[in-house]
Amino acid sequence: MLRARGLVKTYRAPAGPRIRVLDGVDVDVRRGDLVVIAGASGSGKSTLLNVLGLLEDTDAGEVWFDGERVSALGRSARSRARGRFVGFVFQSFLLLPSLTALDNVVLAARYVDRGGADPRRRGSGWPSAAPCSTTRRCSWPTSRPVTSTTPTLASSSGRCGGGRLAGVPSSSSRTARRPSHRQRRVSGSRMVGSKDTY
Amino acid sequence: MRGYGFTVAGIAIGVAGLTALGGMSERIVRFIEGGDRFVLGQISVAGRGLGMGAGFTAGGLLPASAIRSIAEVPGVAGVQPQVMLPLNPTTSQFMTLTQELVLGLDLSVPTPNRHYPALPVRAGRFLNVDDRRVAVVGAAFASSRGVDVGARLTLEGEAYEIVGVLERTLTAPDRFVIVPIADARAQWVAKDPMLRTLLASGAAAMRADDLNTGAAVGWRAGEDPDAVARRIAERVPRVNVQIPSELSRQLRASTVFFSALLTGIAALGLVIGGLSVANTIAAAVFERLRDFGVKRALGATDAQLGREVLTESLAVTLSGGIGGIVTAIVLGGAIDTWVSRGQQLFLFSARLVAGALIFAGLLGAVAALYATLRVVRLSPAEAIRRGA
Repeated sequence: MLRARGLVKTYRAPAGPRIRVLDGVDVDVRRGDLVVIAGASGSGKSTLLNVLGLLEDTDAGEVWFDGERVSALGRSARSRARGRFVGFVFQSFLLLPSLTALDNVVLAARYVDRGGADPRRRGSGWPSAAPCSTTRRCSWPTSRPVTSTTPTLASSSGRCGGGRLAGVPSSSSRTARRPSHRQRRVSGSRMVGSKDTY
Repeated sequence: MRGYGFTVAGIAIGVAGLTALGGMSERIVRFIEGGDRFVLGQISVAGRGLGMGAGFTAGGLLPASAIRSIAEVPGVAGVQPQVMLPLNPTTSQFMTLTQELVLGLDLSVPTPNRHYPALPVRAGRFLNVDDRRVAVVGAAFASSRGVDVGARLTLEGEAYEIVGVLERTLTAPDRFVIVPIADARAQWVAKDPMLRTLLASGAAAMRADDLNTGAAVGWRAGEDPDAVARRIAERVPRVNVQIPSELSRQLRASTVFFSALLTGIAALGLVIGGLSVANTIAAAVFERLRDFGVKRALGATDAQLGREVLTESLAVTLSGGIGGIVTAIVLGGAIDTWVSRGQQLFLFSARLVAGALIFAGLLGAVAALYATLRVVRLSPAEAIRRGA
C-alpha cells in the first residue's frame, strides 16, 4: 500500500555543510500494519513522516500510494493524493482557532469530496461517546478552552478526511501516546513517530 | 468572518480615508463644473467700470438704455437686468468661495440662462413678479444661519420674509439671497454712499431702472453664443461682455490650483487607502500561514485555497469598505454640520461610493491572490513550521 525507495532529505544548516536527515530510506507498509518509528530527537522521524505524507519534498527518492507514484505528481495532484490517502493526527493538534470544533472535524471533507452525506451532518452525528456530544459545544470556536475534547478532535480530523494511512508527525519531543480507540478503528495502515517504543 | 475583526477595522480605516479625501475632491469638482455650466448657459454683460457692487460680473452701472440696445442686437433672445451686491461689503469676502451675495432679479423677464432657467427650490417657493420685501435664500446661507421658510431677515435695515430655500447646488447660489430687483436697487443705494450722494444731488439723470450692475443675456436657437456676445460688444458701447467660452476658459484657468489640489487629494487617497487595504489583506493571509499548511495537509489544492482566500478577502474587504464609507459619511456630515457651519466640504456621490468599493475589492483580491501565491509555494510542513 505504501512504498518508498531511496528517500533523501537534506536541510540547510545555519553554518557549514547541509545536514542529511534522510539518507536513502526504503519503507514498505502493507494494509493493516501498525508501524512505529522510534528514534532520538532530531533523528528524522518527523521528516520521514512528512515526506511519506507528502507534506515535504525530498531531494531524491520516490513514494508510491497503492502503486501510484505520488512523489512525481504536481503540487495540486499531490494535495489531492494526500487528501485521498493520508490522515494526519498532529501531535500539537493544529486546530484552526477561527473554526468551530465541528468545522475542525469536517475540515478535510471540505477539500476531499468522497461523496456520501453532507460532511457537517456526518460530523454533527458523531457518536454521543465523543466529547463533542452537544450541539452547543460543537459550535464553539476552538479558540475557546474545551480542553477535554481537543485530543480526540485532533485524531478525528484525520479520520473525517478519509485517509487510510494515519500518521502522527511530531515536531515536539513529547512522548507519543498509545493510539486511541478511534485511531484503532481506522482501517488502513498506521505509522507513528516516537522516541519510545510501545 | 470570525476572527477578522481587526482586518475589517483596518480596511475600514483605509477606505474611510480614501472616501473622505474623495468626497472633498468631488465637492471641488462639482463647484468647478457648476460654475462652468452657469457661465456657458448665458452671456453676462456688465456696465463698464470698476464698481465693487457688481459682484460676479465685475462691472459698473448698466443703464436701461444699454439693456434696450442689447435686446436689439441680432441673435439676442432675452435680456434680464440684474443687481448683484456683496451681502456684507465691510468684509473681505469679495470674489471668494465663501462670498455671500444679494442677487436682484427682474422677474418680468424670463431668466435667459439655458442651463439654469429656474433655480431649484427645496422648500417654499421662488419669487413672483409682484413680490416685495421677500427673499429666497441658498441652502448654505439658510443652514449657516439656521433659517427656513417664514423666517425674517434684515437687509440694510429692512425686514424681509424668506419665502423659499433653494436646493443645494454646491455652487455659488448656495450662498445667495435672491430678492426682487427693486429691493436690490434700494439696498444698493443704501449700501453705496457715493451713489446716494449722486442721486440726491440730481447731477445724474437716472431712473430706478437704470440701477443695474449687469444683465443675463440669452441667444436664439441655432445662434453661436460667442458670436452673439461679440456682436453685443461691437454694437453696444460702454459695456463689458463676457464671451461664454472665454469665460469658461478663464474660470477653469483660475481654478487650476483647485484642479491640482483635487488631483493631489485623489492620488493621496488612492495611495493611503490602497496601501492600507492591500497591506491589511496580505498581512491577514500571511498571519494564517499555519492554517494554510494544515489545510493543504488535509488535501486542499492551490485552486481550492485560492478560491477560499478570494471569497474571504472579498467578504472582508467589502465589509470593511462599507464600514469605511459609512464612517466617512458620518464624519463628513458631522464636520459639515458642526465645524464648517453649513458649508458643505464633502460630497459623497454614488460614483465615489461605488468607486471606493470596487477599488477596495479589486485591491483586496489582488493582494490576497499575491499573498496566496507566496504561501502555496511553501510545502505544507514548512508553512506549519513557519506559522507556528
